Amino acid sequence: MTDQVLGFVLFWGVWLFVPMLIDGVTAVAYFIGAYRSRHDVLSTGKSARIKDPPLVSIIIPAHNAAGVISHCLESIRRQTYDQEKIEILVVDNKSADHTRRVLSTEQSKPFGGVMNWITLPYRGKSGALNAGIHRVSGDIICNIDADTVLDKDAILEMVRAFDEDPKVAAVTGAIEVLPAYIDPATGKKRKTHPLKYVMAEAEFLEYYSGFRIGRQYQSRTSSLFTLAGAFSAFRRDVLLNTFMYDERTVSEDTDLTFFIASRFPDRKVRAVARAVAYVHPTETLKALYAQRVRWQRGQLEVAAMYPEFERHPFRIRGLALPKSLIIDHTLAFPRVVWTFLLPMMYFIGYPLSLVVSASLSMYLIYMAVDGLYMGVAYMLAEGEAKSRIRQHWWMVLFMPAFRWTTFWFRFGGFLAVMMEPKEWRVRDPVTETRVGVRKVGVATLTFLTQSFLPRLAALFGIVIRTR
Amino acid sequence: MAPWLIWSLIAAWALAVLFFRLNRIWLFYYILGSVGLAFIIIFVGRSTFLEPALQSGVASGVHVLSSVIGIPTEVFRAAPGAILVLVISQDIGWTMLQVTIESSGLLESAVIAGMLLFYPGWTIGRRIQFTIIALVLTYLANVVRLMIIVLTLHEAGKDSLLISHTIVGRAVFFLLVVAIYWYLMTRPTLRTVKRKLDREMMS
Repeated sequence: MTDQVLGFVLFWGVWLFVPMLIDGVTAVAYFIGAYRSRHDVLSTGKSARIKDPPLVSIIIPAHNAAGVISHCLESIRRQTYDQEKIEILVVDNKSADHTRRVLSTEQSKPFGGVMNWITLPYRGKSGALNAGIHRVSGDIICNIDADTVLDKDAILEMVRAFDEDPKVAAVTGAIEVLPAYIDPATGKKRKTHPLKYVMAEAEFLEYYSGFRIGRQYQSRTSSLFTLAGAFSAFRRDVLLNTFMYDERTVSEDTDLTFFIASRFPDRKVRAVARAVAYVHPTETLKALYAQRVRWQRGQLEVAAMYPEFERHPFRIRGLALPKSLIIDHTLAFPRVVWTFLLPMMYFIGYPLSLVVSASLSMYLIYMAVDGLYMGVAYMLAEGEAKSRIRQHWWMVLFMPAFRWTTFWFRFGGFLAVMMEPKEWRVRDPVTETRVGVRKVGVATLTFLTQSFLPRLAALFGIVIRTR
Repeated sequence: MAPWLIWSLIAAWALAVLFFRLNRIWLFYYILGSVGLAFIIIFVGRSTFLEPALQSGVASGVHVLSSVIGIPTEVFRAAPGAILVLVISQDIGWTMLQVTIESSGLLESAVIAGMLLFYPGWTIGRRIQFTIIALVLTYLANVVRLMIIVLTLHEAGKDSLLISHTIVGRAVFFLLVVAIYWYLMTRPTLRTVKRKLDREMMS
């Protein structure tokens, strides 16, 4: 039976098995890389002082951020970086809530640096960031999202990366997802639905291994192709020599990273694991769907805008994008079809027990891959994150299901990019189906009552009077 | 299964695909469309002349290529998909390879046809053109896979059959098919997206 299962998996499950195998090989490569460079990630406590700390300008685009912006600003005021060298600019882009009132209150709070805010008459993150860039004067320009909370050493570690290597043009911080039981508005504990709890922990593990392992590896191999939209920083001279944040794609941060990589090939883009920013987990599956569709759509749009990066997709070195396009896009299509075709193999003569055993085996292999990722993440984790991973070891059971779910969400992005305009509002397919069924129901009812039934009645000489 | 039931299922499938298409619910449209079509092709292929024809075609392709490189093989009209391969190492003699569902390429062809014919964003003409190219390339990739098995069998003997069939042949076939997908789906998609973004920027 084992041989049969193995044969089945190798033969028919290959389209599901290979992406998993690639994940496994990548996990091993990351594991080795992460082990060799664990000192870059772990705080050693002997970091050198920055001799001449530059002025850091922090731009925060804020749209209807009244409930969250205070926590963000508070975290900046708690930075260990010299406060006199921090300039904050909040760009309120057409908020309809009381964001401006909150900002006025925040401005009056004691802070060693400068805090300003402006209001724009239009929406859009890219526009807000670009407007902010022209109004700040720091040598390092950092952007963070309004619902993000910085670790106390985040700015210091970010600046250190620029200070240690003059070739570094841009730096991304590491994003950590907070537990679901923390209320984004109050920062206090709250009751959480088990599904939300599991989703938040899955996101935490995904981000944690993504930033602490994946992007570190890409950073070391000079193949990093995206910065975190929630927390990243640039040298002013580099940023002003770009088109800045361009709205032509839905992923302005990846677009900018690509522009830097193409315009300044001798400069570096780095990921700094010790510069940590905390974000709240995605609240609902609908929100998660919208987020992943946007990410995937953005990846494809940016790749399309820079054809020079996809000329050698099978080359080992170079930006990680062509390779991830092969995994994310090229292999996704057969994976979609085979996911459904594999169970149907029963109908073409394979024993049901074989099909079920093969499917279970594949889930187990996925669990092993996720276990490996969790192991590496645990090795590189410190403090609360370490105990959080340890306490949630059982998440290894759910991680393949989470990745499988987000795979479908991301796949939705590949289809949306082909058919829908950029301004398209992402709506999950279940809601869309419900709306569609209602439309069909209304149309059928209208046809029956206004066309079919009156004609039928007329045939029998019955007159229907309506009020 | 009764024919009326089969036709009813196909009609229900087509209506559901149309519903998702008209309501622009692309994820469900694509899954249902591509998986459904792949399954219909497999179902029809298995119960008609299609599968034996494909088996025979693959066997003939391997036979022609083998004769070009000097490996004596035989195919038989009465047994579609059967190839006799002369083994020259170890136990010299003939080995019969049978092109079954696992190596006819029917399933892979059905999958790629489903994937391409329901891919949104391209004209139907382009999708049909790409599907034809993909089917021809998948057939060739499958012949290459079987050629590897024939070559290994001929040179390394019957003991090599398992590894060349299950691992080497399959791996080569997989890589070739990934390349087909890259050049027929991912790269043209990037071109389409670029044109779309350029158009949006111009407007």
